[in-house]
Amino acid sequence: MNLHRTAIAAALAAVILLPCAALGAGYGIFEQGASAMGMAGAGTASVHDASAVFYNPAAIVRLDGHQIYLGDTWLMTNISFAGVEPYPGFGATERMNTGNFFPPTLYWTHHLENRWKNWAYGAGINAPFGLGVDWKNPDQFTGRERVTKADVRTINGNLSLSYAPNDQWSIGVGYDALFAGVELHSVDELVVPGGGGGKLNVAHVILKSSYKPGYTWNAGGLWTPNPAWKVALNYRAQSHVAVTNGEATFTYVATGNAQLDAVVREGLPANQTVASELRFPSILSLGVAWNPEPDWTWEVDANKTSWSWFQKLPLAFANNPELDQAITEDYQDSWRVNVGAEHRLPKFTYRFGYYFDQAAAPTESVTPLLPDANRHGATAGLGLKLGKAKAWTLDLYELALFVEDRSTDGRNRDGFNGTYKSFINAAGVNLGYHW
Amino acid sequence: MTTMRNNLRFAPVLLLAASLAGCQGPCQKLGGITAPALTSGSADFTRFVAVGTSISAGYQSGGLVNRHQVRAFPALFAQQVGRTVRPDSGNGAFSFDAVNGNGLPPLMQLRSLSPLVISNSGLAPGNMVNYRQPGDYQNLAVPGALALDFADSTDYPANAFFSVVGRHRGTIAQQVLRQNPTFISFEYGANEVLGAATRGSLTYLFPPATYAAILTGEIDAIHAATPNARLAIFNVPDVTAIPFCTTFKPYTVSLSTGAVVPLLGPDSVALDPARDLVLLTAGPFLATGTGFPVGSYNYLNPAAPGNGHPLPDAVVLSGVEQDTIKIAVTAMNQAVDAVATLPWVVKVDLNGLLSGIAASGYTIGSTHYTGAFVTGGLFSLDGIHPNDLAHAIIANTMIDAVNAKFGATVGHVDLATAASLTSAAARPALPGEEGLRGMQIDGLEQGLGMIFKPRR
Repeated sequence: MNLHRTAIAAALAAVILLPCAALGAGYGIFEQGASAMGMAGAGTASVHDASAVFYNPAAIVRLDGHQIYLGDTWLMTNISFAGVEPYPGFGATERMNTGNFFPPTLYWTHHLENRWKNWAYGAGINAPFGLGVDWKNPDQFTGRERVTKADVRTINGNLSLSYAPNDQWSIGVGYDALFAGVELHSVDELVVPGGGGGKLNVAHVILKSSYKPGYTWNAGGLWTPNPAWKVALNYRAQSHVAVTNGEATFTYVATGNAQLDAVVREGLPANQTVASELRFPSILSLGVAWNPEPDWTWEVDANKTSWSWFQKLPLAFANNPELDQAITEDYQDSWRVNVGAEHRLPKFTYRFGYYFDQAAAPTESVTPLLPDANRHGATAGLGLKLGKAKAWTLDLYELALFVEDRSTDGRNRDGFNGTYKSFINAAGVNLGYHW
Repeated sequence: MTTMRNNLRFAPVLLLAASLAGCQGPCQKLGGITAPALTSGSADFTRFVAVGTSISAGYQSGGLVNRHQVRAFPALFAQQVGRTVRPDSGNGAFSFDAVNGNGLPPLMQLRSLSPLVISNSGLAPGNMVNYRQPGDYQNLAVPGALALDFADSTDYPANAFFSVVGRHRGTIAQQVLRQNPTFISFEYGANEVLGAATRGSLTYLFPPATYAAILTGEIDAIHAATPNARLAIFNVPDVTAIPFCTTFKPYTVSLSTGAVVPLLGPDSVALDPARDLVLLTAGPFLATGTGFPVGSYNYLNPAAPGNGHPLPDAVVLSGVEQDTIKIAVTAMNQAVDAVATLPWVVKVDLNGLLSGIAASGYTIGSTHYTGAFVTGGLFSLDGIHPNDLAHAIIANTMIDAVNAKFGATVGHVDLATAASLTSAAARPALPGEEGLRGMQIDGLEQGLGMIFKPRR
């Protein structure tokens, strides 16, 4: 049990300390278990480990005894941008620092016995949403007035209960406490008085909040009409986190012109609190799994994410209401389709899959903060049973996420137009143990 | 089936290897996007010549200097159509009367932000570095020029800039036609009304009907001499909307009651707060309390409360004068519209562009620029002439018009690089400059006097 405690502590620390790159449309992160991710995340119906706490709580009751499933994913992001006129102009190119993120997952389930044998419960800690952008050379980055660096961190704690009235049907519900924090960096510029329209950096602005909670629920159903087929439905409700005491920090940047500096210093807002609201969408998943042979499983999932819940990002400053704004995002509901397969061999299991994830951001909202685009993910996975009693499982997966180049088509709301290119590679591992 | 299974075992490894190896492509940074390739459509830009006023000449902050001449919209257009423009010598494929150093006359500088001190005092004039160029310049725009001056040299001796640009090589028209131009930028008309606006007197207003006749005759003559040339003609901006006319409010408040009180105009008649304009040249008067009624707040220099003396007529543009100017602008632009119906002429809507800036500013990226004096980011320190960025915007307006009419694909000027930091060398006010706590502008009259004179 000491090992478990250490792992849990490490996972919690990692979740709290590290931002996460968005791997799904918008700022969703669906990489929540190496076994399911080997099948491109197509696990709503066929999930067979403790990550059922995330993928479908109705499947928890189909797991034996106690199960613990601890893992992490290494996300590596490569994002670049090429500008067009009128701003930042043809030939302008930008690049983010290569992002390395390690969102962990920890799940535990327990199937009750005797008179409660039709019941099971589970708990999980994960990071279902996140965002990490960090543009190179922030003081020269052409989009610096909007953002130079951003972290949206989440940590979600879930308690789930699952019930199976018979061998064919099961249901599950969960309660989620989603904690979210945000940090946004930008640079304020000033049109130089009496100049030729040129601008100088005059202040660094940081908006930062500690973790604040939001609460939501999830529920799922699983129908197993016969050993060859499973049909499942999972729903994770939307939530919002009120950021009430964020810190807005305005740090003056010397321009080299003493008089201009004096004017800027005089007009710079004082550090103060800032309030905002972070919105996280609901996700409805339908999965169909098919076992054509006892050692093969194929699954297709369709997921609808209600990104239309995310329309505005409000910012309200305590002392300078003239700075208040509601950044328009107008996200649209998006679809994700996952197809995956698992082949269980005597010595190991291998998995593979593909998913398509539709962009949630309309063209006008494709920004340096969130260069959303359609994504194509190809995955491969490997599963091993370890130990004499085969009580341990080791699952590995690799995801190559090919993000379509996304042009703003000259319609970006901030007038920052061009094309974004992204590629994300993810590799994850989960260690499971059941007893 | 067994063979298939064996092969499938390697699928994860192969997929992983493929994805990582493929990262050379997907992980590679995007290359820069290039502008559409230049095509000229039915136009021909190989011999591009510009004529016009101080705007085309790149006159800024009360003078001509090469660092701004090279950023004038004709020079920017020339670069976009492949002509070389040499900033220092001015003798590239699109040559001009380059002036080095502090400019001619010396450009006003922003010497202090608070108090606002703009001055060219103590600056030596620059030198004409390209005066001995053997051939004619391609930018033949002359500060202060009227459309009349294009082919009539009668008034050249009264404006030193005709010597600077024309170099006694004949009329502007002769120098243009000698080059057998294929494309001409024709920007006249602003001075026909600007003199009246900046001097506060209709004496300087050129009769619009005469302008229309001259314009039509000149356009016809150009076409007769160079039938294949295309021409971009600029319409006339509403000059009453420039910072020179709009910076100072015609009203203030009473120190005792806080009520709005109008400033005092010529003959001590109260200005109409809703209509009359107080020109930038009123600064020295306002700074001493002149124009402010006794007991009123001096918004320019609070230390010098209103002395009850009236502002002179030359620094006030009355509502009636504005109406007259606007009527003239409308009539002149009707003439431009008529000319622009010719298949080889395209109109550049400078009036629409500047009116839009005056009404709602101009946004580039997330930066909003306005027509405000000094801080707006689009006008130079004389409050009349566009700055470097505004010239790039004008050039893009011209490019849009040319592309639309002639089916060309001339790329836009990059606004991000066109914006400059020049004139930003503000320093603390020097002893003596501190006396005018609100604003001091030196050199404005010098520049205006050189280019605006009453005409026939």
